[in-house]
Amino acid sequence: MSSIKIRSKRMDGNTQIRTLISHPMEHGRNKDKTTNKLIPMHFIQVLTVRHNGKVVAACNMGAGVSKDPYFAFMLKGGEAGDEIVIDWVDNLGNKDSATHKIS
Amino acid sequence: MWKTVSAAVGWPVSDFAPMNVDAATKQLLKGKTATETDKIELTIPEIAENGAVVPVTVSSSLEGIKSVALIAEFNPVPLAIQMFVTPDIEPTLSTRLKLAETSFVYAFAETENGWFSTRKKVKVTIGGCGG
Repeated sequence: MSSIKIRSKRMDGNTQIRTLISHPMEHGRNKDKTTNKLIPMHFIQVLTVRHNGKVVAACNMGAGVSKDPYFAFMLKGGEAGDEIVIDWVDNLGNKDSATHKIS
Repeated sequence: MWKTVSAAVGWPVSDFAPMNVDAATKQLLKGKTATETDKIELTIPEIAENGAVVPVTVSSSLEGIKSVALIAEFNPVPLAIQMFVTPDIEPTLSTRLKLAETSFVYAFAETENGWFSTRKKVKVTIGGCGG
């Protein structure tokens, strides 16, 4: 089960791409209530959006982005059948990728 | 002591270190100054009931935008996100931020003609520290 959900919508010749990623985005200052220990940092650092294999946007982020981050982008153009690939890498080296076809 | 392990290639560790807002802005702009403009539209609620999830949209009508970034004034790590754009995508980003407390949120845009910025005050009624 991928951690990434992607939706797209054609709008006036552009394509809105929305993505929801399940990720804790821990900044390292929260305490685990049962053990009273700090929860280690765990957050996405880089998110990349590709359109038909070409990088169209790349984001660097810190833990200032909310848990289970949501992003919306507006792609110029975009045709039915075009491929959108979104991938992320977090500070622990985990990564995930998802592919979506514009309908 | 602050120690971040960056597993992602090219992730700027020093931009995302804990510091105050002035240092974070300086770090992001690499010593340049930003001009205030009304050509960056920052959409964010004036009152955020939950600082852990504050919806924000930044867009701009400026020409030749290379990146857009969001900085939260009183967050321990002020820089939240920087998006590098290509001409194939609108310089528009919607996301959700954590805000530690009532503060200004700054939106920056890096263009071929330098940096531009705008800001909005957000009142946080419950802090974002709880995650």
